[in-house]
Amino acid sequence: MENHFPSQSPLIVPTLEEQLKQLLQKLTADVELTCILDGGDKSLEMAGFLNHLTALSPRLSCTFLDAEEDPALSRAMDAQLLPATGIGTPGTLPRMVFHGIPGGKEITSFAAAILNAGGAAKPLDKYTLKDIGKIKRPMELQICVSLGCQHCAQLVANAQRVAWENPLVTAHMIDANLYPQLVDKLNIQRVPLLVANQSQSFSGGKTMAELTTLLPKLQ
Amino acid sequence: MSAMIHKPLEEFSVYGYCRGDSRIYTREDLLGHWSVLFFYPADFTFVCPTELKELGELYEDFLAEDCQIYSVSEDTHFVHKAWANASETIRDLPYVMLADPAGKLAREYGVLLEDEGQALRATFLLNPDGEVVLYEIHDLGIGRNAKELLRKVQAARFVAEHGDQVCPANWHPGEETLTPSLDLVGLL
Repeated sequence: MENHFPSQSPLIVPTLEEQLKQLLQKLTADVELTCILDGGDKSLEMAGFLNHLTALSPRLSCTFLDAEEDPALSRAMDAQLLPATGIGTPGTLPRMVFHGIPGGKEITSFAAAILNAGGAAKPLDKYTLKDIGKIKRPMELQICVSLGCQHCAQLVANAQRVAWENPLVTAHMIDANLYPQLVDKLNIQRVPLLVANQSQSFSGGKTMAELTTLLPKLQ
Repeated sequence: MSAMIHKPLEEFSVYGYCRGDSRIYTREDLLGHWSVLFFYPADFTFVCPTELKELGELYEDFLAEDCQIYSVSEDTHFVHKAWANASETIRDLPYVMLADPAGKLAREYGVLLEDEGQALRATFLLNPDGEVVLYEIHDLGIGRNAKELLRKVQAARFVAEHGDQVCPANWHPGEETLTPSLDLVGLL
């Protein structure tokens, strides 16, 4: 898909732009953002956001495509919920995916995911890494959020970090506000809602310790 | 009247009536599980039976939330029994109807109309420790919604189990994307 999208986003105001520049200077590896779009307003908005963002660092690149172009990628990124943006290293299937636009509090989890892929995240202690390693089977995590929720972004960041550290795990942030059918299906009354393998649901924020204690038990 | 959230349950002893049986109920009966105190003005009135009936229809759902229902009026348990004998709706109620003719409970919760000797329509949800976690007080003619009360009980239980690590969902499809606010703490 050709990139005819806006190069600037009103979401990235000057103060945020400066913060992001400062943060992106920490990247030590290239990060690829892969965005699957449809023709909707939110896809257009997300494309402008990503164009603006990637211009802030030479370590960032972005590819836009529609859901039919790469079936394997569409499956991996769950292209049922668009726009979907995967964050990873070039040439790999992304395991950290954002459905919707990372506005509000979710800009922090989005930035954390970029730091993960860019080799700039804070190191985890050995006990946490050991717990993450206990996940021995493929696990898909969906974290349904609202952008104004102060408890959501931390859970998203924690889940994305687990996904980054363990190749069996994928973590999808979902701005539930954009997907009313999902809200109805899961009867979401409060956020964050963590759904593991589309079968087990857990409400409420979780620290990294709580999350990495919980997830290995779900296999 | 000051807010009664977290108000503890005081000692009391009143008769309660349920499906033909009466006995004394005390503070201890209301501890160890969630309790709804459902005040209404008086037996043999019109709006009350509809409220009480609706509560009865959802009784199993309240039990599933570990919540017992206690209706309360300023009548005696003999009047409760007489009302049950006279009304099929009341006879079938599955929960306890507390009798508070001395006004002990109604006065304790600030809902007794002293001149009338009746309670306002008021609902108090007590946690298993007997503390008030939510309440609503209506003027006499304004009815309550049992389904909404059930939702509130579910929410209160959820918060008790999960702390404050959740935000209530309030969906507004199509609204503008929230302006990003980056929290650098923890990232740098």
